[in-house]
Amino acid sequence: MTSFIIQRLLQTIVVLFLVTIMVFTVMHMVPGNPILVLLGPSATKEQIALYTAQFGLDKPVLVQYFSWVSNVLQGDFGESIIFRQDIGELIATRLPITVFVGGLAYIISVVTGMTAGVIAAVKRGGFIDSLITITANLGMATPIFWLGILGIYLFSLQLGWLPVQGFTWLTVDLSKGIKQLIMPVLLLSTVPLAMITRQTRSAMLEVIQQDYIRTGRSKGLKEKVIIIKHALRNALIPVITLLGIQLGNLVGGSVLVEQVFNIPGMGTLLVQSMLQKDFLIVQSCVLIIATVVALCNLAVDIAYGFIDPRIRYK
Amino acid sequence: MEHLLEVKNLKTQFGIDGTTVKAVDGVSYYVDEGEVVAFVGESGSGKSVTQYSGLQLIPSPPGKIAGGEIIYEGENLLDFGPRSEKMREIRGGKIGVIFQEPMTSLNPVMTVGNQISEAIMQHLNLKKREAKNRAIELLKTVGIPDAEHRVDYYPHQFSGGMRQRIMIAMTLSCDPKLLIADEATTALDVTTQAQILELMKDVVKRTHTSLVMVTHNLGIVARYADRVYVMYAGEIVESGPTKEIFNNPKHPYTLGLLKAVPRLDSSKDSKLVPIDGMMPDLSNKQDQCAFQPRCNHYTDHCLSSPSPQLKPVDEGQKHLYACYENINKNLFEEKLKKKSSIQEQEEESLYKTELTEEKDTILEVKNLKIYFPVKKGLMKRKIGDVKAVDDVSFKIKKGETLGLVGESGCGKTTVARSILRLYETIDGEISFKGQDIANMSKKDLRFLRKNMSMIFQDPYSSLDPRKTVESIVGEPLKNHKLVKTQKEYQKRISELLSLVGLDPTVKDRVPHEFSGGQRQRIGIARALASDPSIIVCDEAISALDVSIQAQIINLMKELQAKLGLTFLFIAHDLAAVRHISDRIAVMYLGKIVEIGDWRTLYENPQHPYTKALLNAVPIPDPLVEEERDRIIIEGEVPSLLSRPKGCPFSNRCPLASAECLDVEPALKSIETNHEVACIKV
Amino acid sequence: METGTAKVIDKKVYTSPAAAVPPKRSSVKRFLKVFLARKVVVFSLFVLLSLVFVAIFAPLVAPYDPYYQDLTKSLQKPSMEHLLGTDMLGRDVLSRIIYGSRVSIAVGIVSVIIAGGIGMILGLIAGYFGGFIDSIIMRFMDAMMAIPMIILALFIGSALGGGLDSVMISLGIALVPSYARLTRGQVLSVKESDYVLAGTISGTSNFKNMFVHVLPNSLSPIIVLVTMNLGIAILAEAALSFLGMGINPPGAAWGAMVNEGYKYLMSQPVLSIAPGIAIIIVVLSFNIVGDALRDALDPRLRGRI
Repeated sequence: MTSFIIQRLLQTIVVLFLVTIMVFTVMHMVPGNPILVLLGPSATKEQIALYTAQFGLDKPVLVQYFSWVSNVLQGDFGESIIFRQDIGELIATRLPITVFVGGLAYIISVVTGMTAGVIAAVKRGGFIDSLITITANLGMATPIFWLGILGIYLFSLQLGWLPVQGFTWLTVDLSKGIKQLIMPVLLLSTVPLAMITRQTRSAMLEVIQQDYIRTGRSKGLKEKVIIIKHALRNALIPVITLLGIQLGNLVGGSVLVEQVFNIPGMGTLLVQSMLQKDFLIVQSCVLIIATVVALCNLAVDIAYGFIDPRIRYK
Repeated sequence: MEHLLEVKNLKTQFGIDGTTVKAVDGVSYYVDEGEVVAFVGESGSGKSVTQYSGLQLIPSPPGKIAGGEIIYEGENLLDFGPRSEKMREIRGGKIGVIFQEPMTSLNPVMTVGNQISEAIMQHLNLKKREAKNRAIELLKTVGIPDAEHRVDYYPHQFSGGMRQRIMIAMTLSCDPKLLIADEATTALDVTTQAQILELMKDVVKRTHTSLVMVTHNLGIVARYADRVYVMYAGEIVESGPTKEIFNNPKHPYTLGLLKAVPRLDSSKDSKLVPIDGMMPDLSNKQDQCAFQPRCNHYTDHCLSSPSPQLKPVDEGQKHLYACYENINKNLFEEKLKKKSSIQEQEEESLYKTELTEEKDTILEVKNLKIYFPVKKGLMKRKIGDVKAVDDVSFKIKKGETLGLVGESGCGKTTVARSILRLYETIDGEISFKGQDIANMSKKDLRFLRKNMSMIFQDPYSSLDPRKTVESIVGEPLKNHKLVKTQKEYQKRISELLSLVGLDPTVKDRVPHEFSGGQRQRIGIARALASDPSIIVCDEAISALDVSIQAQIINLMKELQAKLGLTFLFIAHDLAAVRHISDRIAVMYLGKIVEIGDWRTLYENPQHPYTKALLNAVPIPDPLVEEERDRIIIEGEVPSLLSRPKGCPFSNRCPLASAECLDVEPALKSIETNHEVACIKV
Repeated sequence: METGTAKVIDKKVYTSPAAAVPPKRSSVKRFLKVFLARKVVVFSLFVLLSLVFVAIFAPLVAPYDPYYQDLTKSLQKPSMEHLLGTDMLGRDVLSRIIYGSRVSIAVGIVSVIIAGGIGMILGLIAGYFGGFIDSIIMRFMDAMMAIPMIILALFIGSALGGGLDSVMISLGIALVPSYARLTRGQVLSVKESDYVLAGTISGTSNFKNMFVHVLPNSLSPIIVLVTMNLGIAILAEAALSFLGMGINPPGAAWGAMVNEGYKYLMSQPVLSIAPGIAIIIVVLSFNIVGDALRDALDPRLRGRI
């Protein structure tokens, strides 16, 4: 087990290293002089020269890469041109908001998704199963930004129950904060919830056909015991391996949801800086997001190792 | 006397793709207290479904019990739903089931202790602690060493045989009245199989439990059962006391089965008599004798009459059969005897010429060693070798069949694959027609590929599902450019298909349209295509049903006679190997422990392992079985990583002494054509 | 030594029912039977075919020129004249949705071709060669998967500079890892099968084996993934357009239309709602067809794709 964890840890480090290479390469794919793109068409010659030197863009590519990576490792992401602010500080105020909203949505989607999936599988073919399956299919096909707009139209503009937009920390204003959270969190959980439901349902259906379930029945166990003690734990193993991918879906969704609800998180920062071509922020954001996702994946894999004794006792 | 369990006119059906498959069609039987009853039949005969129906364990949908009564202790169990309190009390509490697949029948994420105790807590109302103690006791009873510790292990930490012991412990946990063993030993090695069967026999005898054995293995039936039910196409076609059934089979199917199985003690050249054709499709079953299309004894009466009912052989007898004809096996046996006395003389002289005849050696293997490195840890450091094949030498002469037998992990398949040069590096010498295969360059492999081919175990996975029969059989022809024109190609394909007994018009079909036996024929046609000198048969018949197995064995023997083929025949079924091989090598943990011609080896085995192996194979004849001594060797084949020092068999050998742990015995010749690797011989 | 009986049996082997021609069982028929078992699948197929038809013949189907601006008629409510009303520039919304299908279809197809092409080649190489090459390729795929698909597409798209081409390419690249992983897994399992070994023993070279036996038998799940990804790509394109990183104005794209309508949500909600429903119908159809295809081709993939 220890060697399994160490192995996964090393793998994560390699992956993150490759992410830095990818991010760096893509940024260097930007056609033309990146400084020109960075500063916009109104830049003067002096500005261009200054920034070229400051970012070390006159140096060989490899040197640029290593100085960027070593700076990043020291927590120095550079300074944003648009926001006139240290990027590290900028991210430090934005990241917690995204993690908070995303975390809530993740918990909701995992818990609800697994429950709904199990119920659908147990009631296979019945009304509840059809309802859950159809809802999950719809959830996967609906653009969440559209759903968000629909929600705003209905609950904020027509009914006036919820605020239109914004984000307030719960410590600042609890009731306002909660009201502002409801729609973004629910929307953000839509896609992962739908997918986890589908996966849990099919995993359960497959597990229920296994020989050991028949063994359980042949022992005279109650159906409830068979489902909870025998089937569920086995069914969760494949679902958990896919939780990492769901996390990716969720983070991707947060870009859209933050945009719709004007939440000052990583997503809006990313989109804003992309539209304004502040590539230094873009690459920092992408790197941070990739790191968070990779670390969560690592955690999921370790949890998986604990659930499956075939890995634990290897 | 009231029966422990009585089933009347049971019908189970499955709704598949809009048609109804009558898997069990009006089956009646009973089980008395303390009795061992066997259900035999080939796959699809409905023998397992019958048992599961009784416990309402069939998956529903698509399955449903369409009628009948299952009477246990005066109550009809079908009056209770599959999930009712009553049924749950019966299952596990009164009737326990041991399933076929030990690898998948235990929950992989629960400790075996918990899996046993949950049944105990359910049925005997014991506390968790007491249940666990009882679980430990049970594990000891079924022979799990170090049970106190192992009770907390997970299933994957046990071998297949051990898991089956755990299954038995689980079923015994609540003192059931009846045990159902559904092909419980089929997936196990021969020696393990013998151990588990003996264990079951002892347990039921001691606890006065009844046992229902569901099996396709007639030898097991002959050795253990008191009474037999023979099933075919969802119906019982014959039933009665074991000796009666084996000595005086009245149904043509029973007779057919008995003649189709190769026996350890039969005359070598008695041809196996296959049952032609295959089991009918149960989805559109007519009210007519289901066996008739495959029957050699049918009359016009059979064609025009409804399905025959079971009737006693003689008034008041327990021996029942469902056939309009009255066939007599005794007559047949007399014929057989007459023939065999002439045959024996012929056989004897043939055997003598065989021994003295000098044939060319076509393949010689010298000091073959195949080691696979074991890597561990993060840096994948090599910590040792798995010695899959360790210093193996043998010769195969032109036109003969060498049988290679042994249990799983003995290295027989590895030997086959190294002869076919499927490994990159091979330590040792393999000389084939004077060329060294082991050190052959990639370029020269072409010669090997043309002259050597293989027949696979699984007829389902060995044919590319997306290719037509023509392109499967024609692959070697094209690769080796053996045909010049398209016309010649087509002609050769047709020729090959007729050679293996297939209609050449099936050329454009794809594999899934054929049955298992037919697919195996396609595989044989492919193996013959490049006109090879040697064909390696890797368990080529073990996945087939008994009646089909006989068809394929006969086909292979005929082809050998006709085309002068040389076979390396790898199998774990000792009776089949004996039937087809001229010489036989027995392998254990990567080594050949004994090698000799078939008669010497089977009639005068010297190595303790060979003796145990042969003894473990039950012979489908209760009279013979009664007189046989039982040698049950202990333990299981160890992992290749924990091979004992000295003689590989030393930790299980009844003759082993301190010396055996030191010296690794080499093969030594003890008579012509007979070599043994044991210092005690 | 052969006795009379034996000879009879001899003959029997050749004329036995094994020689009988098995009843012709068409795999295509069985496939269609399972594939089209449910009415909703037939309906979805119909929807998708109509979509392709509408996209191809958009100029004939659309009642108005989608780019024609008439500020005097801006933000009109749905009427017989304009079934879905007009937008702020007075353009007919229905016509714009009809033309928007062209963008969705084009993005879906092109990006899936890019992703499938690159992904399958990478997966095939990784699975075939194994070892070091395999590790390198797969770790790169892991790295790509660490960046959520939408963000990766946004990232690449912003580097490429926006527009239809950029959306197709960036989505195409962002979807590569799923194909590479699936293909590699398929290749690894098919490579071990007996029929590939039989090919080797019959003298087929490793390289040829890959294309004759391994690849054709690895395709079914990839076909399923392609179907599913068409929907995902359309959804992602809509998201990119919504964020303003997709199709440049005045091009008609469903996602961009939702965004444009957002500003007029209070007065004219149909501007946002209508294109959204178009997206849902199309994506749902692709998902339903993909599910049915998976069940018909390889039900074991349930829960994995």
